[in-house]
Amino acid sequence: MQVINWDQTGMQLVPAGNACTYHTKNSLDVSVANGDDKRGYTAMLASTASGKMLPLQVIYGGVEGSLRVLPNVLCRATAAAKGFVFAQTPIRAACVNISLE
Amino acid sequence: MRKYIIGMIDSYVRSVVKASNGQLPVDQKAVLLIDCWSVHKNEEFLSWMKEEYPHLIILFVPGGTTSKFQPADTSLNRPFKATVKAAYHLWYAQDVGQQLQGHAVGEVKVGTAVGVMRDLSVGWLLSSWERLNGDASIVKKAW
Repeated sequence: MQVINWDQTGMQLVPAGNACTYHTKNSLDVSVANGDDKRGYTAMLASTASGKMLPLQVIYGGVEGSLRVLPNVLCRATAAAKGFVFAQTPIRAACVNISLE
Repeated sequence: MRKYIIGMIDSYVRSVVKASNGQLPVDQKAVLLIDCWSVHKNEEFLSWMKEEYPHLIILFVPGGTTSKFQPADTSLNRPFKATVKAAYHLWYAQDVGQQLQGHAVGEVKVGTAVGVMRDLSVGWLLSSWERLNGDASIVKKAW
């Protein structure tokens, strides 16, 4: 019997995390390059109790029908060579699903 | 969510049954251990599941306990994200390193426009996923 768990988790496009920077001591409002970037997307991680990962589903937000949201041809080709599939789904805004076939 | 069940979960369970070469029945039961997300708890979704996939048994991780009992939360999300982050830092460092050959420090500019990052993220996600999938012991430990 297979036991499967999945969880949707938020990802950051710029995963800089706790970025550090140099600035004058005691200065207010120091901007960290790309560090405060909150642009994100979601990933669905699924695994089985037997130790397998299920294909990944990744959803990038965007305007429905806009080709802009689809990762570029080179990236898609690399991913496709590994058996991943790209599709645009009409859930609220447009999404991109990356999944293994 | 329905699309996810059809395209991902159901097709996975089917593939396991198929790979068993007749050892497992076509309606082999499987347990879906999921959290109390509103989308999962949705009445319409649950009755649809009962109707379409009676062999897929849904069990909920008790509300508020996902950090203890949900495998994804206990030990998969973190290494997954960490690998993505490491790949990002590697890319960033390489980009800066390349630009420093021929440019002054002040001229170095790393482009992180949405489109650029989205394209790059695909490769990072792929390698992170492969890392987890390639090591069953990490995944098993999560359970």
